[in-house]
Amino acid sequence: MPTKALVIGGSAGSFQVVIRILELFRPDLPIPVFLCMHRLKQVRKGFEETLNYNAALPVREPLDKENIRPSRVYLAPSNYHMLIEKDRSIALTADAPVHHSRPSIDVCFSSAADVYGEGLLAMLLSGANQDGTRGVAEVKRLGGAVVVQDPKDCEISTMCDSAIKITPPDQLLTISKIIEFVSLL
Amino acid sequence: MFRDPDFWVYFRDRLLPEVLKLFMYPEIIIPESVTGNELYSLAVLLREANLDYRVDIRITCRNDRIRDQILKGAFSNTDFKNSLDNYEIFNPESSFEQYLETRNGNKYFRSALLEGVEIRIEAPDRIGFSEKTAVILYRNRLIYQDAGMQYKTLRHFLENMHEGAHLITGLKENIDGFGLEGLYVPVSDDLKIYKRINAD
Repeated sequence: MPTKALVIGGSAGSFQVVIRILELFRPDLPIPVFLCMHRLKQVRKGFEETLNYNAALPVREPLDKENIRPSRVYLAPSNYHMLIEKDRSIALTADAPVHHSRPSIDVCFSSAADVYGEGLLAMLLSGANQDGTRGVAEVKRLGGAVVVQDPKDCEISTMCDSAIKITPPDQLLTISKIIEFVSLL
Repeated sequence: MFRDPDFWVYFRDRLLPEVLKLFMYPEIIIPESVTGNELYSLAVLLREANLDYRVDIRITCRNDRIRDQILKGAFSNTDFKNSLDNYEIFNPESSFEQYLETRNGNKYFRSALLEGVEIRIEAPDRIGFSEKTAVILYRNRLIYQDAGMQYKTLRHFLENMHEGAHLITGLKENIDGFGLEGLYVPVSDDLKIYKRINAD
């Protein structure tokens, strides 16, 4: 099954890795990328702009019900959960935080798995809580592929440790291997 | 509480003074309240601005249970840190805790904050507006509606608002593309504040 979408989740310690990943996408990447990162709720401006700075694909915080297009990176907006809908649009909600997180990686990954199934590639990066564990399990359960950053290589390993304890990933990669992996997409 | 604090700063410092130029005794409506967060944020803002005597608040709820929950004013401990952080940005000179009281170990908003607030059980597309309805604060409710319901609600609001009244939606909600564009102009694209204009 060819990859139809990529979803990336990260928290504390993932920012620099994400910056590198965004630089390496080919500009005609034929799939959409969903990026769910934990960040401060009160700070709305600057994050999207920083990620865009050297990114190979446009990175934007979508509006609710925005249609999904390939070659775009959809950044989960601060203080909203981002879900993928069956009609290939994005839904945002202001529901309660999950693992103290809004956006939640679990919510984002699970909804993407529900829509793309075997066509989903999920990538979980460094982080300091257990968000992402349930999402990674859902991706695997529905036939998708999972790449997790090697906890030994994470700035903070809690998130990746928690995920792989429940769900063995398809690949456990260091940052340099993740970067190599992304450049081959 | 005080979600998107820069919005509340703008509301207090820029929007409210404009509203008060047009409306002597304005009314602010918060349709379809669920958590009461917007209501209590607004009530605090008006109290601090010494405008609670002049600006009326009306909220609507879907049912009695939601209304009673809001009136109880229970303050979630999980929201506490976040609310303090937001309020610190909104008003660094003051203390948010002055608006709370503790009963049986739980935090509640002081009931005096809601003096004069009108609460109705009403669907958002049935709300009646008056000459003094100056602001409709409808943040993060459209995201829970499908496109058909969004259109119905927005059309009801925009067709019944008076010229000069403002509609405010959530930062990531979109009201363009419904064929209602002739009824409003953006006041702040970023903060999703729109002003009703004369369709002619």
